[in-house]
Amino acid sequence: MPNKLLDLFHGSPENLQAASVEIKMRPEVQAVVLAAGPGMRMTALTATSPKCLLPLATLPMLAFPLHLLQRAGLEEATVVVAAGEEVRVSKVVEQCGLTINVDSAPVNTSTDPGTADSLRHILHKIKRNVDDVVIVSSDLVTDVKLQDVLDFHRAHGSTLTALTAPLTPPQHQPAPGPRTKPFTSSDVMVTESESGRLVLVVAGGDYDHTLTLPSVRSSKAPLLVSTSLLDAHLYIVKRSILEQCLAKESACQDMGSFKAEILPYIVSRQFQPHNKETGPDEDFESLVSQYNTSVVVSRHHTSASFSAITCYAYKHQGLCVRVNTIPTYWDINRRMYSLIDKVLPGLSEPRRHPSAQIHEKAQVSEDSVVGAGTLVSEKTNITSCVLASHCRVDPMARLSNSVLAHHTAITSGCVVENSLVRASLNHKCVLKNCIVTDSSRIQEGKTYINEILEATPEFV
Amino acid sequence: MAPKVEVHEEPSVLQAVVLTECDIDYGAAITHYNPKVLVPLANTPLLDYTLAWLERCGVDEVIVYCRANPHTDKIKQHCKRFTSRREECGIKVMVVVSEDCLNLGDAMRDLYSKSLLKDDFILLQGDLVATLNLQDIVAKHKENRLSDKSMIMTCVYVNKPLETTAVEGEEGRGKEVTATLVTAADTGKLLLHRRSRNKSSKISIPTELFQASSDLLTYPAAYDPSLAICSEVVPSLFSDNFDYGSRDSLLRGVIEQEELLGYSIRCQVVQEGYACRASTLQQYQRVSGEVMRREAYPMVCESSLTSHRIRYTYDPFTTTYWEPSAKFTKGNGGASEAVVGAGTEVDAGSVIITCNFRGNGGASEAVVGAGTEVDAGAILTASVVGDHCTLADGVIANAAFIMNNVQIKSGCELSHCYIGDDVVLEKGVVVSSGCVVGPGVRLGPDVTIPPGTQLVAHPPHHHAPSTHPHDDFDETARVKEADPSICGSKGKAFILLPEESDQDDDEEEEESSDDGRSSGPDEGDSEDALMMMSDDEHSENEFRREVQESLTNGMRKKSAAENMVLEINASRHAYNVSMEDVLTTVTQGILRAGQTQKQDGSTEPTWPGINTALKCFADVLRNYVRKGRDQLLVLNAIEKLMVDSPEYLPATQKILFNLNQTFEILEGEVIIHWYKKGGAGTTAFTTIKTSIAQFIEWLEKDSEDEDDDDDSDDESS
Repeated sequence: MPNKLLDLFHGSPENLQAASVEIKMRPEVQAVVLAAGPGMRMTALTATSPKCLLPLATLPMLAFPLHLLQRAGLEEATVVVAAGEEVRVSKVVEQCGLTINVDSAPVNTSTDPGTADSLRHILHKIKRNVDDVVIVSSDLVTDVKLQDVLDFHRAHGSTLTALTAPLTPPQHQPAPGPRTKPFTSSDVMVTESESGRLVLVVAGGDYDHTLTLPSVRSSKAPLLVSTSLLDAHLYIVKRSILEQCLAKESACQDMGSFKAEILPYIVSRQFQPHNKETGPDEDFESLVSQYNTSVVVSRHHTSASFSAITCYAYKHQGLCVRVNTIPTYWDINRRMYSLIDKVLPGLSEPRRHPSAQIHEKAQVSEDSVVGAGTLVSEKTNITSCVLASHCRVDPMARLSNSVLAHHTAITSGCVVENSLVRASLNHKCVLKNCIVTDSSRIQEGKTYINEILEATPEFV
Repeated sequence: MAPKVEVHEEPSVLQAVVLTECDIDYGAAITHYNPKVLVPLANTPLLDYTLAWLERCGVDEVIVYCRANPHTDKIKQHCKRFTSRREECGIKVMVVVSEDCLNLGDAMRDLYSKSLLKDDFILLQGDLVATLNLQDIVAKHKENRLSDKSMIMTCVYVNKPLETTAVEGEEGRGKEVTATLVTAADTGKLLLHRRSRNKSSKISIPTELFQASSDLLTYPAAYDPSLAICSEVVPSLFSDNFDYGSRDSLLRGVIEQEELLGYSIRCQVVQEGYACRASTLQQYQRVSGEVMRREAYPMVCESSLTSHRIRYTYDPFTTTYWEPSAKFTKGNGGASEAVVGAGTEVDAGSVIITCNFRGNGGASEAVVGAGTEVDAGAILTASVVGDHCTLADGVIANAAFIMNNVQIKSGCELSHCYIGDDVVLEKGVVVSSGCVVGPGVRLGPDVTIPPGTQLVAHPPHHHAPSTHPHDDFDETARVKEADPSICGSKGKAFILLPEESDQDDDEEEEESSDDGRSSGPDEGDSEDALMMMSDDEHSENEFRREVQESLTNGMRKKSAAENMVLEINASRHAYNVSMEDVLTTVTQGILRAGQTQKQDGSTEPTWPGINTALKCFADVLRNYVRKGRDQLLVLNAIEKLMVDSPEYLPATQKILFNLNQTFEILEGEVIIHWYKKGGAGTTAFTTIKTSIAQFIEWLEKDSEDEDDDDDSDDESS
């Protein structure tokens, strides 16, 4: 008897099989990777390379969100890229050994489109038969299991689920380059402390001296007003609501940013008493009240306690970083040695690529990453560095706590400390806390401290 | 007398301070006869719930703090009875009586000066019914205090939704019940504390709070049982700053001046346990119901909280409690079927059981005290009946709270009301919701008491001595004879008007004016509606009342002149009154203050009283008299006072003489000028003229030979 009961609960193997077949038949989720961002907060690096292709250790940034999607069993992803970068982007997949199919959708970046504009651009690519759309930014590095977030989303019947994580300061400081005080007012997220329901989202800078919370008296749960939560820019949105918001006649048609405008709009719509834009759910409700006159809306039936829209924040306690500033880019690169197993499980490239040639008399510390085809000559000293693929370090060079991009050559005698080098150093020099993107700025025998050595814009 | 408990010098003694003069009252119809904390809730005095809870939570010593009034002895005796049943190891209850305690702040200052508080203590109101786990709360408080020395107080809140907001919203005082809290998520430090004004209001959070803590925990409406764990710093803070009248004002002060004081307050929002204050009658009704429904377990109706013996029989099916000696008689007209059909019963003793088995299922929630006779035809729901009452056939009581020795004859309908001791309701009396029937009242037959009426057995002014008998705006109609149209042909009852109850209840008045005048306008609204005054008049009267209060208090406390001026100016700004009106009001107020002090029984102002008032406030008056014209205003004000209250007339000459000679506020010349011009031209001037003629004559003579005026002072006075 107990066995039979158990069977009832767990389902027989045949049933389970049937269920899994069904999942395969119809994809429930479509993924959109937003990779057209210009990287406005790290212009020193993005001047020469699109942001989504900047290397984190030896891999381009875009590989991380793609791998995240792949881990969750997604077979396809729509990647919004800046026009002209499609080929390079689609190469990322084979270059990194990913199996996910990438459908790159170029957008014209000359008009500086916002994330919402990008989404509008690819709206036609979203299949009509999926339930949810996963929107993920190309600069997300996280060890979250997307499957968990999807399960959370479905279990709560959520309209929109945002991935959040505690905001952690960079471990490796200071970042190279001139000393700046990176003050940006942080986002404010208001959630119900127990359920994680999103009550209010205000992007940093969009609030003044006071924040007004919507009245949510139906629930007794206290509200957590947090400025220390990172909005990871991973959203799972119901396709219907996304289409509503991106439609031409919608109230959001002028909104440019998904995070700063559309997300707060959707969240605030939870508490609007009467929704003019009726979705399919609301249609049903109106039909019920039309044909079933005995339905009397109770006193408790307010939009606050029941509404077609419910938004939640999934609070991830592990690693979650957005690589959108030089300090975070620097920090992630430096930490990649220890993180790579977590954020790219199953895909971790060896920290010393087999094709790398390291001279036996070279001293390379354990926690350094050496990419494919990199050549390290004798009498060099490399401690805690990231050397991307096809770099060349000549004899007598000394590198510490530094990050070298692909195809960077360091000539002999250079001393590089705590610097980000994206161009070959053809002259003997000393770099401390510098960012180098243009080697022509380097002069023989000079010492540079806290500088950005980049190509001078043409108009100067 | 109270048990004089020796305070042992042990550091581990956990003390609790119970304030019996709660900030909100039940109204004079109840509290005139019985102090609020001794009003029985489900036939157990409110104070017992507090004491029993504190005892259970391991509190060693309770300080019951009360103001000196006729009820003090009752409270002392009650506490003595409570402790006399306990052995030496039991809870110790000390009653501390104070002459001039007006609010929580005064109580703290007084206890500080008496240095009765040794360590951390629990501060609560005597009308609290709670089952929270105090030990945990206190332990956490001490732990927090060890880690953060600046933390001086832990406020305890209960996070529960208020389902009955509709009930309490009627009075407008429900706002005291909940608070909006913003705390730091990691420490629980209180960053923002606001009384919720109305239910739908949105919460706005100043973003500067993010500098203090990146994560804020916001409680939109936490129930506030007025419970706090205080460190020894709190009483000293109260005595350092006399502006702190209530706990709210302390919270505000500490939060606003955090940099200055260097103190912080933490919150504990408790999810488990029960806590509710029977602060108003609406809340009283709510708490009664919840106690009957055993939400305050282990404090339940059937067990006595003083002796812990089982006093009532409890029927869990119908949530009814009755004393074994209560009789449920079979009345001739009481068809038990009808009772069963109505789904409620307190039926003939044996019938109760059968009713249950018939499955009528209605939880009637009733408590019936010892020796009470309830006819089978009576229907009780959510009601409490005290000892030795008689409820005849056909009585319908819904949420009625009936005290002891009450006789209710057939056909009476009671709903949501309070019936005091020894009340007799003749046949067919209908008591509507919100009514309070004071002790000894007789009503009926066949009358309907309109909702919200307060009835007392004696004409109001005998037992409710107003502090302002001479207020010209006190338009209370005083009923000398019971009006049969109100209380019925056999009845004896007088209506206690709401504003009357507000005024004689000066504890509440002063509380509200000390509360930063937050509730002042509210009360004003009700007064306004009743007196049908215009807004201007109203605010003027309100201002007058406040100044009068300040002066009366100031005289009692011997406040310094600067403080009085500050207080008066604050009132002036609050009501936007012109300087001239201020001067008039202050002058009259000072003279009235002299009279109120000497008012025992008689309302006549006596010269010694006026003289002390003048002495006391000469500096205050001087502050307002700056020009010659101001002196005229003072004289006119005195004259107008004579119009309203001619009993001052005999003292006029002495008043003027002292203002002129002793205090040198009025110049002789000005008085003579005023006199010659015919004063303010009111009807009283002719009488004043004759009564001060002698003084004027003397003044005129005096101004001729000024050199002698110093000597002649003594002769005339």
